[in-house]
Amino acid sequence: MYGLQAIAMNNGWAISVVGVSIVFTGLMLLSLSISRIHKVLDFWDNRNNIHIFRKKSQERSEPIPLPFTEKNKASARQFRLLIKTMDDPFSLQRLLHLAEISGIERPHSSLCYLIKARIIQPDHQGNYFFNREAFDRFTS
Amino acid sequence: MSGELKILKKDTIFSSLTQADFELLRSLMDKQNIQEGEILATRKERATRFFILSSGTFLISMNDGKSAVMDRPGDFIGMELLSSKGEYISTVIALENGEVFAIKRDDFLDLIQEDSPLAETIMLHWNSFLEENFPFVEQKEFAGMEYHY
Repeated sequence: MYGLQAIAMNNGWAISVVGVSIVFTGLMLLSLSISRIHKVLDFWDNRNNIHIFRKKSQERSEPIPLPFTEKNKASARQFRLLIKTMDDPFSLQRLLHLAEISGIERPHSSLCYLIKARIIQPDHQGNYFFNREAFDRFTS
Repeated sequence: MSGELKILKKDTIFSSLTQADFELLRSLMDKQNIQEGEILATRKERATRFFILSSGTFLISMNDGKSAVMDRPGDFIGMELLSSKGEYISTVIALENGEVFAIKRDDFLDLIQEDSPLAETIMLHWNSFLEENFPFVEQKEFAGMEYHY
């Protein structure tokens, strides 16, 4: 038996179809990969901006064990009184302004100290709130 | 390594720059010692400088009563946080004695307006930094920086 009959008898057509399919599938996958390679390169270039790859950056203000002198405690109590007159959460710049006009000694550094002690904390929306727990801990 | 480079190489928006880019940035920086209560920028005045924090704590008072406190060496006080259309939109006050590196606003904007990897890196990191730390600050688009900042 020769020719097309022989091919048909030995599954030649099926083998050809499978072979062509494999080759074309491979070529298609290869061309898709090449067309998307720019995205992979972009991803690699910007990997530092992806959260799962980003190094855990140091917290912006880690709690520092601060010594609280009597002066610090007194100014903390003065700030507490001012904060009581304000909204919650409050505007930090307004608090500083009130502290200045109220005559609190060294209002800038006193306010700074309260922020470092976490008695005054940000709400991450541009305002700040009073941490009663930290205040009691430092002023008791 | 100089003090400026050590600060820039920490976890800041500049930390992934090349050595050559660091040197270029460093050439624009001018160290200033700041006293408690000193005002670095006043809202509505002409914007002339941006700042990189070296030490100390600074309060950024924005025009809607909101505020941001920056205290980490390498923190950048500029662009959306500080100015718009050539004018300061925030007042920056030192809450304690510290040190900053001032960069002329025009020099910095020239740097980031170039079509360069340096500019792209800085802007990408700056946008991430703003989004992560100050999500309430409106971010500007890249185009027309001279006008926007």
